[in-house]
Amino acid sequence: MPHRLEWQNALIGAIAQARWERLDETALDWARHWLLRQSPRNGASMRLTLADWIAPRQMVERNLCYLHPKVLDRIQRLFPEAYYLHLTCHPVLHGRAAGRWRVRSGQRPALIDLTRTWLMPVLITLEFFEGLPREKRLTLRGEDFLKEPANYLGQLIKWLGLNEDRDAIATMLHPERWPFAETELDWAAFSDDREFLAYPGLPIARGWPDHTEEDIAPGMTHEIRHYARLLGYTENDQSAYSE
Amino acid sequence: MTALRREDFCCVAREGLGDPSARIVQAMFWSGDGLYVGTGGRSRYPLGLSASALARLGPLGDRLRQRDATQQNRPIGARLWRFDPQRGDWRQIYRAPEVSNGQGECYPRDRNIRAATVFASANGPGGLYVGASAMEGAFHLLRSVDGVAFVDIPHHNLGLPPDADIPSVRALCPLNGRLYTSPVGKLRGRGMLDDNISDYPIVFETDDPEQGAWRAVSASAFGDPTNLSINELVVFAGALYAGTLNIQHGYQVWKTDVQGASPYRWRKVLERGAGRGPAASIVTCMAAFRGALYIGSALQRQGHGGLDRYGPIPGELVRLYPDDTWELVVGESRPTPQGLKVAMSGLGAGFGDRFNRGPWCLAEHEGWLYAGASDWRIFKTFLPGPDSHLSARYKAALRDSQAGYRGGFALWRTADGVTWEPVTCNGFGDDPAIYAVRTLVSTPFGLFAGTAGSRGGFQVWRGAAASASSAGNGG
Repeated sequence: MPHRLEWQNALIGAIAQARWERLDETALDWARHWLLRQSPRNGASMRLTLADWIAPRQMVERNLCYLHPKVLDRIQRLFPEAYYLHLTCHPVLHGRAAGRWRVRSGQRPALIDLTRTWLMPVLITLEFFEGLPREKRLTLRGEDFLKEPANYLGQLIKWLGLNEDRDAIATMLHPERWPFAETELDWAAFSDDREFLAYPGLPIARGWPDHTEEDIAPGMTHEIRHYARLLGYTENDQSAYSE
Repeated sequence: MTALRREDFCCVAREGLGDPSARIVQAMFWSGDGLYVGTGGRSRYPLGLSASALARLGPLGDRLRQRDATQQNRPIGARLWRFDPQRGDWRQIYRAPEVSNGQGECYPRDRNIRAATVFASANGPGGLYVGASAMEGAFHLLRSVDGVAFVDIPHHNLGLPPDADIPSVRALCPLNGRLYTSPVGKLRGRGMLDDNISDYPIVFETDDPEQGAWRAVSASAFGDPTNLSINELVVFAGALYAGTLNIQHGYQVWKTDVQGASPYRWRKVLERGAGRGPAASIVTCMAAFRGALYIGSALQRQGHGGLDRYGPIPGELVRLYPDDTWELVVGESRPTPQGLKVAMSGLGAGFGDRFNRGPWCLAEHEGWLYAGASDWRIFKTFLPGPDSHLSARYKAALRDSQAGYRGGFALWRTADGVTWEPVTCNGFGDDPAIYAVRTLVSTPFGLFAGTAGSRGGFQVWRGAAASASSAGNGG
């Protein structure tokens, strides 16, 4: 979970990008000044302003901090036109990534609590999705996406009712060429996703796991395996799933 | 083209025609001027377990056997009924013969009737063919030339070894003067309710069923060991289609043009449960309608045990075209390798009802396609346990929905395959034990629906527009 300063930096970056379409120190200074001049306002109001600035383009949000039933209900109330994409991940792959993150962030290796980090977000999302209009919700396995990103990006654009612009899709396929990746700025300070910003290309598609590491296996409860199946996941090696 | 409404249906058979333990109409077909209904009951041992599985349970297995004997839960065995809609009367034309285990214990030879068809070969007189599941050993194939007397015909274990475990067949499918089938179920090493998983997921063919000259015309499991059985066989646009049970990845559908030397060349046209994954593990029904093949799917075993014990997970309906393209008709819209699939009908999985387990049967009648469904609430497997991490609000919603269930099922209809309308969403009658339409058959005397119930015996309902309903409503 990002710290408050990281939140603030991320917002300043977003303002600079949305208001002036620039990503240099000058634009960031302007953004800081603009933000200081604002009277206190909540996140929803801020997002509406950002949405106005970038119109007719659409705003995309991704953040695990929204995964709370009350927050999601509030988002739906404030943004009734919003579309929701549930991009899923195999629990074992999630566990591996969580383990790597612990090591990279200097924490001691420990058993991954998949119930807290994988199951709970999935359940909150599934329950929230049941209350959404069918056309506003879509679930996509991240592993499938990474296997054929151009194919699935085209489908997502179609689902959102946007024009299937081949150039736009080609641009989306290469985040390493996006402005933040080419600037001299340390963009990691302006986002909550340092790992992605450090290596901004699309991750390489990997097959589904054929084994479960010892530090993940104890967390693979019956309930987690069930919901993994519900999302279309399986494991090549059945023994890795057995209790 | 008259659409049937709920009030057009009347009951022509109830309480299992005198045997409340006959809970499900598993096979139904029309021939001559009569409706044939195949039924049966429980397996020879309690809880549907095999003798060896009971033995492995030790003292618990002994107690289960003793309780079974005390309650006189004797299996009734397979029965075949014939209904004359003009006279409104039923006649039992086949009853499983009694056999002995040599130790003084007698039991019906056949457990139930799950497959039936009308077939004429080039060499034989043709007639009605029925597949009877076995209590012990291999299934039996019966034939009748007059529609009344059924006799055993050999199948020589479909060419498999003499000890092959092939207790049942679920499909008998004629095409171009040949008959196709595939064994389902296990008697040895089976667990509870393993009536679909097979040791031999192979399509077999014969052009001379009277002589029992069967041969394999597909690779075992189509070369994919995760296909556990071939449950559905259907002819569409001149090709033979096979639907599999695949618990690990989701169902598959294969097709062949049955040309050339056997084994024929089969092509996989749907996989991974049409992109839904293991939540769509089994093909439940297939039927051709207006140039497309409609395919129903569900989670196998209706939430019993193991990974299936949660839920509810409503079923789906897709349609497949002869060029192998497909559309999602009823279900959850999703991206797939073949493009974005949006439910054509506008209805989510389960026809928009989370407790609708999915279509269990499909039939065209007077220009309309009908889909009979099964309701999940009869089995409370989806009620979350104390260790569930679902929210309190969601758990309460599940409990409340169960409390309001008084039996019943959904039956839907469509004239174009896209616009679906409910005939009923809570069954026809007031019997709380009836939870599904298991079979639908179109006849000159209306659309017949055979039910499944948890107790109290099956029912058969006849749907006919008011002008055609004057005869045959007895029962």
